[in-house]
Amino acid sequence: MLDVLAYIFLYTFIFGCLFLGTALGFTIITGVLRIFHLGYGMTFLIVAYGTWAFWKDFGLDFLISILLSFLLLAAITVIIYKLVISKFLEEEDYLLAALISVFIIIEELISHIYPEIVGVYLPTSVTRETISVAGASVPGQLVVVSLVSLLITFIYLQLLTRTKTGLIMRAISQNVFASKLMGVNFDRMFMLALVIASIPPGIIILLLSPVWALNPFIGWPLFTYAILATVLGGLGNLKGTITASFILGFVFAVTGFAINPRMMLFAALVIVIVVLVFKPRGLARAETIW
Amino acid sequence: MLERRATVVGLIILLVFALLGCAEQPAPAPKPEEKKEPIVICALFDPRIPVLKADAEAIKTAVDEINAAGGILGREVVFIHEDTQRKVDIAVSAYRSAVVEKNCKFVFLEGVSEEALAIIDEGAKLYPNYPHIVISSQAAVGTTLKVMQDYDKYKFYFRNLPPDPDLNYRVPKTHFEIAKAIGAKKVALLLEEAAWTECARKGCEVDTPYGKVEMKAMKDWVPEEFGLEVVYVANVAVGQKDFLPMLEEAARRGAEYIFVLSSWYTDTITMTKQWAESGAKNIPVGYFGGPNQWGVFYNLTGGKALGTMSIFYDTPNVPPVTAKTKEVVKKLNAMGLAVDMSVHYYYSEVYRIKEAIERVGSLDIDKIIKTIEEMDDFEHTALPSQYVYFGYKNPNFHSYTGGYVLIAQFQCDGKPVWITPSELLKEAGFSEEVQKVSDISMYKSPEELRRTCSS
Repeated sequence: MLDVLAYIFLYTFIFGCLFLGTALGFTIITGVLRIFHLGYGMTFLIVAYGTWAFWKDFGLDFLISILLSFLLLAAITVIIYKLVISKFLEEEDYLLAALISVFIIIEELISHIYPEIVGVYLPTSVTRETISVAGASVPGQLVVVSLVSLLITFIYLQLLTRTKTGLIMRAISQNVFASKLMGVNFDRMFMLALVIASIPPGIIILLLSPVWALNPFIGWPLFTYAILATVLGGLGNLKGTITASFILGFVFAVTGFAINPRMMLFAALVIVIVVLVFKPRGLARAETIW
Repeated sequence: MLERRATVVGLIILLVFALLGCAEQPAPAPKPEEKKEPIVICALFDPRIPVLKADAEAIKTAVDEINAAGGILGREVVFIHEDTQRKVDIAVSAYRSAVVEKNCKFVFLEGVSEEALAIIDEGAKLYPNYPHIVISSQAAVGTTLKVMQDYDKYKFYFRNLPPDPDLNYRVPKTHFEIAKAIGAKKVALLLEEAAWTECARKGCEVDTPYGKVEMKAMKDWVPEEFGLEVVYVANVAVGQKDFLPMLEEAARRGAEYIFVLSSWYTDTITMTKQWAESGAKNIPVGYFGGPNQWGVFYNLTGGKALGTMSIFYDTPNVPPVTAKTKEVVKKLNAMGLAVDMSVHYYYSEVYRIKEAIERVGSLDIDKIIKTIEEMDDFEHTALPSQYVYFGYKNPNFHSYTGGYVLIAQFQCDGKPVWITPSELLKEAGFSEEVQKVSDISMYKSPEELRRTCSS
């Protein structure tokens, strides 16, 4: 019994950080731009397959390939903002359809160029050790993913709360029209928010790939994690997302280790729905991202 | 006078006819050569999924080879590929179009039971006006039961895989024989939750015109038949990504062998990556279907597949099950295709069709079906002939029969080493050459492999 408790405790932390890492960028987008970015899953793909392309197809150094893949992601994000988001910002249904279409196009393109059979694998293992805590064990790489998730969250919080850019983003998230009246170049800030938001999922997929399969369809399950944590947290509120991530981590851990691992995602979905029934705006719906 | 003139004219006419009759007959004008109708083979597969793309390409390869050798009965074979998007409605629509509009006499369908169950009923309506044959590698038992219970209606349907009660009993036995041979006493079972595994998960009773088939759940027959204690059973959801709770629990309960009843819907790549760094990493793990049947599996896992075991035929060094096996794998590998079991199955079936048509001498589908049922000397590229017999003596009428298979362990640098005990292969009818290649004594524990391969 004690070791089951140890597993639940340990994996609440691990799964919680995983939810947080995947949802951080999505929360910023929903908080600042106030859009439900259905193309968010593409960020995982662009970094993973971009790195592979620069590394294997162009023969570049692995670390340079990672950097270039983030530059590629930033470029694609800006293009999508200019061509899609800014165009349909006021027409939400068109925007949703357009963003999910872009996601599917990128997914299909990658699937065409790099079908699973190509054997894409990124050597981003920081450790191959198995870590044991009070009789419970976990892949060391997942501990790294967790710690990096927390670190990125901390850095982003500093950015949002201690910098002028963060202040402007919070202002936009509170009231876009008022911030416009105050002279905020919201177009530039939107673009910046999108680019900033695309970084965490990129880092997470790189670190997660040693313990998750890389295939052209990996964007969806990770996007599902992001949606669950962000929606439960109250779209666009970082405090809510942090709380929701660890609640979902706990649900995953309890279901996985004490009930039935087959039902982990199901249990998380039920919890989200139940909370939304009683708190339709999520756990911490507020007028600002922080 | 008139009478004499008429007589003379008559004689002249007779003479002219006689002369014409004696004259050399002109050669009859050459008739334009009758163009033989091509034989149309349709493949209904979703090309986005690498294994299904490889299945379709394998069929096309066999068709190309047959055409290069003169076709079937001198007729060209035309290959048509239709995308199903793995959706039942689209698959049924593509199937109707193939049979009705494109005149497909032979339809190969991807191995998705849900699609097959819909198509078999659609096919029953089409068959009287559009006789044709359907071949699929799906595994749920429903389609085979239909053929058994209402033969005239469903006789056009063949399955190049054993149905669930047989597939999930006879084939996994190889894994449990290996588990016993390497000294395991406790096993964990991770079972994909899908239609094709229902009998393995829950046990089942199936009434057929040839008798009642009863199958216990895997957790029940494994201890009874192999004396192995099943310490943990978990169902794996399609698309599941978090396997650590299962793996850790298997380790916590002292499992000494983990068997995964997987198909392409279980993410065995993620499972392997997580296994290799979990508390279960020293427990041998054996897979059934999925990307683990590919040679590239080792790379896909970044080498973490070291020590895992799987049914495996995807290397030019594959043991020569038949004279064609190596050649086919080499050829398909050169085309960039991975050759899992289903690829072998579909490739081989095209040749079965060819042989059946040639034996019948025409495209009389009823006769071809009968001929296929009577063919017991069919050469498969992955299985001994006795396992691919479709006829009345087979309790899985119109389906394959399950049996022992070649299981390989990924050893240093991803080299596959065949470890199915050779006496099992002998029992299954594999040739002596194959038996020589496979040896359980070549098995090494994952722990030992990690230690020795890295040094």
